[in-house]
Amino acid sequence: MLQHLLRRLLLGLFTLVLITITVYGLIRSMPGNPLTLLEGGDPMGIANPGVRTVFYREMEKEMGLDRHWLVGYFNWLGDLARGDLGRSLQDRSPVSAAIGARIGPTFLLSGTSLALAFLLSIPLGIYCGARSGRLPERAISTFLYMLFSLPSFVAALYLLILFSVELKWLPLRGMHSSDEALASMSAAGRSWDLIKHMVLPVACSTYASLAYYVRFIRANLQEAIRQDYIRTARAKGLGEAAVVVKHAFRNTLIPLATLLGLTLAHLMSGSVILERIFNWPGMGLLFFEAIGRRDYPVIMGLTLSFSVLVLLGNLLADLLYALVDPRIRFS
Amino acid sequence: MNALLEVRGLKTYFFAESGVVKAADGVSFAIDRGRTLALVGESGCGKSVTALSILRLVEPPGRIVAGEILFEGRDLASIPEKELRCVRGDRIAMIFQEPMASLNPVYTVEGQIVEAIRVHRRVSRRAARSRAIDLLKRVGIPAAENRADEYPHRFSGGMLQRVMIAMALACEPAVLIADEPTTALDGTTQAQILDLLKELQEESGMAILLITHNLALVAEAAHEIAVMYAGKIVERSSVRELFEHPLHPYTHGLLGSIPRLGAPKGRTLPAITGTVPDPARYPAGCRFHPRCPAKEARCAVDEPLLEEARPDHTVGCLLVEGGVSPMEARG
Amino acid sequence: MNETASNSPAAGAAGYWRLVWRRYRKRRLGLAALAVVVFLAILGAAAPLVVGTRPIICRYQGRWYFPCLYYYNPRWENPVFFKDGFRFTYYPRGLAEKDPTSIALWPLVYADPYRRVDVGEWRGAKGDPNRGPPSLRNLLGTDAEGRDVFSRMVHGTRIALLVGFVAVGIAAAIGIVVGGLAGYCGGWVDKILSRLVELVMSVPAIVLILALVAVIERPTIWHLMAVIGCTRWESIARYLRAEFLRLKETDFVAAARALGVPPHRIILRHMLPNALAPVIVSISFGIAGAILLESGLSFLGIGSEPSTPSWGRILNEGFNTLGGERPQWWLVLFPGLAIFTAICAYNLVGDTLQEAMDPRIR
Repeated sequence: MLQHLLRRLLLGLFTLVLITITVYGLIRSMPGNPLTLLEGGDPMGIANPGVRTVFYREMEKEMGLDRHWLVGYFNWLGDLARGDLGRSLQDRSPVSAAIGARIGPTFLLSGTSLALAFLLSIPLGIYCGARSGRLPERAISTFLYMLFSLPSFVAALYLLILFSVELKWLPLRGMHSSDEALASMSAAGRSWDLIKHMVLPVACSTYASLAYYVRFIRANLQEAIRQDYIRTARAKGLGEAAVVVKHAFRNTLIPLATLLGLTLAHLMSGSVILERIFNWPGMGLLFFEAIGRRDYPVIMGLTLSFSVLVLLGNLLADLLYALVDPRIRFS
Repeated sequence: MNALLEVRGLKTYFFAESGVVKAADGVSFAIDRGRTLALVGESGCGKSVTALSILRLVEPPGRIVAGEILFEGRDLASIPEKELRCVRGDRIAMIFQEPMASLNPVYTVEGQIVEAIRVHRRVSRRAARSRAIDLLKRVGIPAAENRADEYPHRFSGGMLQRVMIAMALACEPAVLIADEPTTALDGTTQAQILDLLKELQEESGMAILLITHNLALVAEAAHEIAVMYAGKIVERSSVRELFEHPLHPYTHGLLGSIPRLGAPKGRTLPAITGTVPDPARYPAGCRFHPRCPAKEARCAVDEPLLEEARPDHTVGCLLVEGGVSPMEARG
Repeated sequence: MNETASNSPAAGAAGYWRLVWRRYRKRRLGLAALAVVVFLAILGAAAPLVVGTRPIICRYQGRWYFPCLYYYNPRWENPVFFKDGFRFTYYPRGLAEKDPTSIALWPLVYADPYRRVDVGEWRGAKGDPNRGPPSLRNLLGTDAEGRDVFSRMVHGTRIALLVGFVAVGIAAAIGIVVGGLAGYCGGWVDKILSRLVELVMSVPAIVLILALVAVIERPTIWHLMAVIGCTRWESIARYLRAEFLRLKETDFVAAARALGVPPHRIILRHMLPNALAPVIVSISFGIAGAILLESGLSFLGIGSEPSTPSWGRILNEGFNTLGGERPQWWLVLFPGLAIFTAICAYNLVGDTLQEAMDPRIR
């Protein structure tokens, strides 16, 4: 089993290299670069045009834009090995610091969402699996299916209109209220403020995963209940609840474990849109902003981070799968 | 009336979209303490359904529509589910055909036996565990203390069937229903399992209902035999009597088709012509008549009833006169 | 029964589809979804007939023209109208002034998805056609630029479906080729291709798409389609590979090989028709996914010019008004509903099809 994990790790590293080299190559080989974009205005605020040209030429050299892109890539790799992800083009701040500051909020959102989806979907999924075919279950399943087809940004907008604009119960955007307002709050007040800001983003992030999980658990539970060992359990005199939860559901955990790891990737991609809508200061929003201003170091750093997280998620899924299935653990 | 378990007129039907399948259509038999009754027939004749019906383990769309299952002063077909669960695994136990599929792969062997014990007895986990290990030793699992903590996938088919027997015996049941327990095993293992069952029966005096399609097995393992065809029992007697004086033409056919060492070479193995009827559309009159070599006109019209043709030997055939089979009458 | 017809693999496939359709019919929800899909397709194709500012057909100066074709491709507008300055006077007045004997068949609703309609442009219409919330004049309201939302939504159907079909078409083409090769050749070709598929699969789609879009200077809707198509072929490849691996072992393929039928004919005539079943399901889900991606990207402001009547774009405009004093809820409600309906319908069709094709007989 260890061997298998090692192989996956190596494959993952290879994938990372491939992704980063592709993105870097594409970025560099397309017409236009951040400097030509900057040319429109004068974001650096340098008044003297002569000085400006010299400055930009220096920047060009520093960014490695004057060399072949492969060289630039290896430079980037070299820097990476030393833990240096480069500096943002916009404000020259280190990329790693920028990403580091944004990881927390993104994890807060994704983590809460994942935990909620998992916790809520288990009882719901078991109910739908065990009572499948009956009217209340069919209604729930159809409703969840429709929910699944509702894009998160549409739901976000609808919820925003209802709760923020019309009812004014919840704040419109951001992770917390303005700094002055925060300063006057107690610790409890600040937590409550955070929760109020989290309600809508977490809700939008969770419902799609929830719908998918419930369907997944339901299908797998129905499959498990068809197995012979369920008949044996009943023949032993076990009650229906014990049969469903102890025997059928325990076997459903096996595919569910893999799902957990894979959902991480999904949450990552969802975070871009949701963070934009709610102005949530996370990695997704940073990515979106960086794309808008073609801030290549930041884009590269974030692409790497996303891919690493997805890789870790897949590894986690593999690990969980082995842990939960004794046939893999002891073979 | 000292039969331990008596089944009277059991009818188990399946209600499918395409029609009603009368899997068991008026089955009656009784088993005494310390005796083994073999229920024999081709696949599709309804013997497994009969066995499952005793503990009401038949899944929808099938259900028991008529009949009584008398055991320890109660009719198992009509008692409430809660009461039935006290019978399952405790007073009547069941083992199945595919041991690998009939045990839950995510729990240890010891765990599943302990579960069988603790569902019916108030004992500590330690006491249950030690009993489980004793049971494993009794059924012949070597190094029982160590192997008890292993998972089912680490056992061979024969070993697993022993585990299932151990699990079935956990609460010292009065009746053991064995549904094709050796069909999935190789020849040597088959013999071992049957010997084990015989030993256990002699020790405890439990009754065994053995479901099988293998007549040769029956000669070794059973005291009485009931032959089933198309949902009905067509002949019933002690094993010896049946082999010496088969009455029903179907039984003749079954016995004739057993390959025998020392039979003259160059002769084709006699087989019964035709195929088993579709359980949704049984033929009118005697259900065997389309395939019967001795049939007469009235066989297509009148349904035969089980009648005692010889001492302790009932048969359901219109053409049996004076204890003589129509097959012998033809010569 | 005609022997040759029943023996050919295509006829076997045809009987299979009839069975699938019969089972599909049993689920009413699936039928409703199919109806929605068909309705959307018709609406998208016939958008200029439903709403527009150009006649469907008209007779001008003795000759017949189809000005509404402009909406499909601007270059299909007949130059005579351009010459006579219809761009500035617009068709109703232009036709009336330049040729009083002209006759024209107008679309059901007079509104334009690309521009504001002037007051008094359409004779007989009362009131200002550019007021905000939904009214009799503007069934679904107008956006920030004064453009009629209903017309943008209807024409947006065409965009959404176009993106869906083209993107999935590209994805299917790539997926079928990759999956087919992997399944048919087996061996090391299969191993390499499978690794490739794993690689593509392990990249979070939106990250890749955004990165690719960032790289292109001025992304148009066609770039978007290509990018979506190139990143979503993985499931189709996997299904086709599995089917090909299975079909390779069947008797009729072995027979074809023994007869000396060349490989490309085996693949195209014998294996492909029988392997398409799970691919079709994937395609349906793929269209839903493509519509989702396109509307999401348009909502983010990426992927098309602001004038393109994409549903996501309208949502974007609605979103921008939320913080202000007068949030224009109609810019959010209607496109959201449209996106949801389209995605839900395609998902349901795919799901029902999957159930209908399930070999396990209930």
